[in-house]
Amino acid sequence: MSNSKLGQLYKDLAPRKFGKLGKIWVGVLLAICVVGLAAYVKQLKQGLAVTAMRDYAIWGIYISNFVFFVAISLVGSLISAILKLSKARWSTPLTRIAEMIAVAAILFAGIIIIVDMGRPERFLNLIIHGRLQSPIVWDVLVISTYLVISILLLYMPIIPDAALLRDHGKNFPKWQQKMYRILSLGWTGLPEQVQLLQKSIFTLAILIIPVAFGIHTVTSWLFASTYRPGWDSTNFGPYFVAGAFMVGAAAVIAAMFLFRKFYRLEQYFTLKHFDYMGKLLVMLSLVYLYFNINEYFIPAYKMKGGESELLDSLLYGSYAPLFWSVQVFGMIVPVIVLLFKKGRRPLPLFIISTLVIIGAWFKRFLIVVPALAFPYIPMNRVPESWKHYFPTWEEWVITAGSLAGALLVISLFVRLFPIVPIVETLEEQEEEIEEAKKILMSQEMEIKS
Amino acid sequence: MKNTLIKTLKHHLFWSICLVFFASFSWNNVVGQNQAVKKKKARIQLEYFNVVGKRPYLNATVKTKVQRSYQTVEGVPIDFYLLDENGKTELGQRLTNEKGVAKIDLGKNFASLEDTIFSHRFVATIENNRKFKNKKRELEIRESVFKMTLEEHDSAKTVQVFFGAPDSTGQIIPIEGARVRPYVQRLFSLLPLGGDELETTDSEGYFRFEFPNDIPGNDKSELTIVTKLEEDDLHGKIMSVKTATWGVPVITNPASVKRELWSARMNAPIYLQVIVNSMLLGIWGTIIYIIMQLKKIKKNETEDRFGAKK
Repeated sequence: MSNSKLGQLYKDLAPRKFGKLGKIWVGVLLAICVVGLAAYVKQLKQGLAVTAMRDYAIWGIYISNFVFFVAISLVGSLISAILKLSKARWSTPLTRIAEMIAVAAILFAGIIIIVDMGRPERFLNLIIHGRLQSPIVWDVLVISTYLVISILLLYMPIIPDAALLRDHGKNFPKWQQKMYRILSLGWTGLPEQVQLLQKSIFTLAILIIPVAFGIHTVTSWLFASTYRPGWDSTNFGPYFVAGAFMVGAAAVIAAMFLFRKFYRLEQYFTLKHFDYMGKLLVMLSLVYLYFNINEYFIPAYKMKGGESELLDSLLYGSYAPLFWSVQVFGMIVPVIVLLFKKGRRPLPLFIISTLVIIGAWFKRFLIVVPALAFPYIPMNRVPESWKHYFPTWEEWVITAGSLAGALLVISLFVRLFPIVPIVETLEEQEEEIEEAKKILMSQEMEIKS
Repeated sequence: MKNTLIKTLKHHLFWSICLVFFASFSWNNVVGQNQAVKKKKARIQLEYFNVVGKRPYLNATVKTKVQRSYQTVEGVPIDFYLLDENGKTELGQRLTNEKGVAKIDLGKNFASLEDTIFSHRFVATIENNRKFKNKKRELEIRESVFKMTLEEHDSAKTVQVFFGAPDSTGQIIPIEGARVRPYVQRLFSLLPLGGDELETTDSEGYFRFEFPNDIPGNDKSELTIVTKLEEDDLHGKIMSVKTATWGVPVITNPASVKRELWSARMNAPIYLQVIVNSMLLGIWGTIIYIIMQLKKIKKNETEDRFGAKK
């Protein structure tokens, strides 16, 4: 192992203390979380009456936020598994970012679903009295499984890095050194250890793909198995999965841009990474656009009974401005801009990715809420307020708290661990050199012969 | 300079688009709120409820006209008063709930009046409301006695109700012709018993009903029997509730229920149990296997390749 290269990598990638900006960022996130927690305490005391959810709008922004978190978490399987198994070596620096996002998102997906329950202690009832026939039970099972796999997939590639930080990080505080010692599992780089680790990561990378597809498919079934206009679709599983991959890729791009800018990682997140991720985002956006056309065009062509009121409100009615903003800025504009090479440069790509993420959040709102406002059985003799849903300030604050919480988890994680896997990057650099040498030698041999 | 300008423009464009998202999101709410500027007319329906053995209460239901039909309104403050010779006594203020109902229990002050005054006038008002014009509804209620007894002789079961009211001296006088109906409490509502025509009390103020023997109860044969005074504006809505072991015991054997997707948890279809459990076993088995591998990595630190401890 080349010491100078390792030294450079260590210098560039080892975790650093927060600067002034970092401290302000963490402070702001903490403040939002505390306010969100205070609003949640109020909700616990007064019940779900503090929300705008009523008999018809039984799901509001908590659930749309939950679907958003589940969607974004799928990026872990996209980058760490699908790209890794397809030997897309360029994606190596992105794996940790993807897994960090996946773990933080799925963690807060679980938290927000408990927030939505109103009485958190009743979650136990789901385990004690849950029916295996219920998609909600399937969702709990698959989310907890995905969380465990994602944590393992985040942790296992950290082991060699933790050993490196254990051996070289003498300037870290003692608790941090102790943490690296525990997490490194006595890693010394023995061939047996390397083999065990690689085999385990490979197995996990395969295992996470069906579970990742499962998590979002089952989440889509929560809707598809409920008899409501807009949800009564056999298309929902792939529609949700496609949307999830799209927003997940956008999240990685946004994170990659910010880490590159604030941690000065231009050497690791290169223009090539942005270009490739941009292309990937175009492809995923096109797939999602295709599903959107299927999901809205054919029902709108038929305009059958119960569906027509919902579609009217989405296409021309009160939800139309939001619906078309999401479709245009969250899907069509990204496809157009990213088709051009200039559009795949870091700043434009970051802006587009941010639009995709914002669009994706509101898209989940459009999937969850309007469908509940137009049930198949007409709403008669009910208070006017039950017919509409607009979140209360408590719902906004709690939701903002959960989003800030997920960002806080990521921020604290990069404070303690390298954003880019150090040992893996070094090994790949050396492999690339070896391969280049082999190519050169074979070319020389050809010339000689 | 040019680059800075382009950057600034890009940032402005980005935030403008974000603004479009949020503005369009708020649109629906803004449209809804614009409608509630003028003061509207409201209707109040005032009702007196007396469940024997419990404190009586008043319900004021508020409705307003929305697109040709009357709909209930939530969050309207209703002031309740009791009128007497000396003027009005405030009973309290309550907000209407999601069903448009403001409920007030008639508390201790009212209970002391019950023994001396046999007729009460209640008022429910909407006063100085931001959304609704002032509105007032009065209700006069006379005290009464509504007593249910359950009698059982051999296999004959009878529900008997006595209905009477105090005269000016306080002596109870039976009321003839009052309409009474018996019910049985079921899971979601009351099941009316008897024919379509309502039975009335006789000249001695009694109503008798032969209770059927074939009504399913719980596993202990228990039934909740309810009798109600019907269509009587003078005495309010009065009901009496009692429990008796008059039902046919219903004992469900969960094992006899078919295995269906809509059955209870213990009757989940076998194929579903097999699929879900084998998937869980496969995935969690692999996870546990990987955790064991992690233990092996740790073990490799302390042993050399021949298994000897370092």
